[in-house]
Amino acid sequence: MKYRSQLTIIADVLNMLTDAAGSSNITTIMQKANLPYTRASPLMAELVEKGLVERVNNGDATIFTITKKGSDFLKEFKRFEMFAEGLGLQL
Amino acid sequence: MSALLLLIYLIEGLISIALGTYAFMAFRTFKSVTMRLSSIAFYLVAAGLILMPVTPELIGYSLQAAGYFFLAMSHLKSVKQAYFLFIPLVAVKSIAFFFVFYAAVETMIFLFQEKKATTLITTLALYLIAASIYLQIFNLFFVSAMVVQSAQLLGFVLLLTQFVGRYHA
Repeated sequence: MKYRSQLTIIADVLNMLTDAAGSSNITTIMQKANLPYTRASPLMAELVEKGLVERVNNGDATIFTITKKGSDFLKEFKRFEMFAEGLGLQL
Repeated sequence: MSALLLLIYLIEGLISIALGTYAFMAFRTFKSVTMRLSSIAFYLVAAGLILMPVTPELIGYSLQAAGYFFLAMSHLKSVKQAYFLFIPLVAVKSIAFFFVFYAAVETMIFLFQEKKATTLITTLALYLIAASIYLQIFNLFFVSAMVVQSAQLLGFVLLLTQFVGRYHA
């Protein structure tokens, strides 16, 4: 499997949330971003703390929603990722 | 140094500065180590290129070499362990190429001074071996090992003809 940096994993999660109309639960995030629970759970807590994702408790389920800051971050990431990939590098 | 050459160095330097600045912006935004190394690399290369016309060549080339070192480091950081073993292999091949190429250049200088047909053959042989080693650096990607080894064999055969020719003379 291709090596992914922490930044790339964050971008993959944000991208996945964007594709899922902005929000998703932890199980779907784990599946789509190819992450085990032991990595997905602390990562989502970190993204919430940074304000890139918002945690919404919907009854029994916890839903994660991408914030405006998260969308901006993703946009910037894609811009610089293209540059890095042009150099044969990962961000 | 001609004005055109000066302009070329300047354009190359400015392009390198632009790339360095973009990499620095990426580093500042994402704290990316690969981008920090790339920005250092491009700024050093730019300094080397811009200073080339106004300082001794050694300074310009040293700065560029330092820059390319950081560029290589950024790749090392980016690829992680996947191709780690590949790096020393390329380094060793590159050193081998450098030494053979150096020998070929020295022999060529001798050829220009002495103008002997035998030295011409040795020069060609060493350049062929150097070319084959150069191709070997990349043979994992696109050059067939058979082509590379054939070029090297031809180089050694040319060197042998020198020995055989002298032995029978």
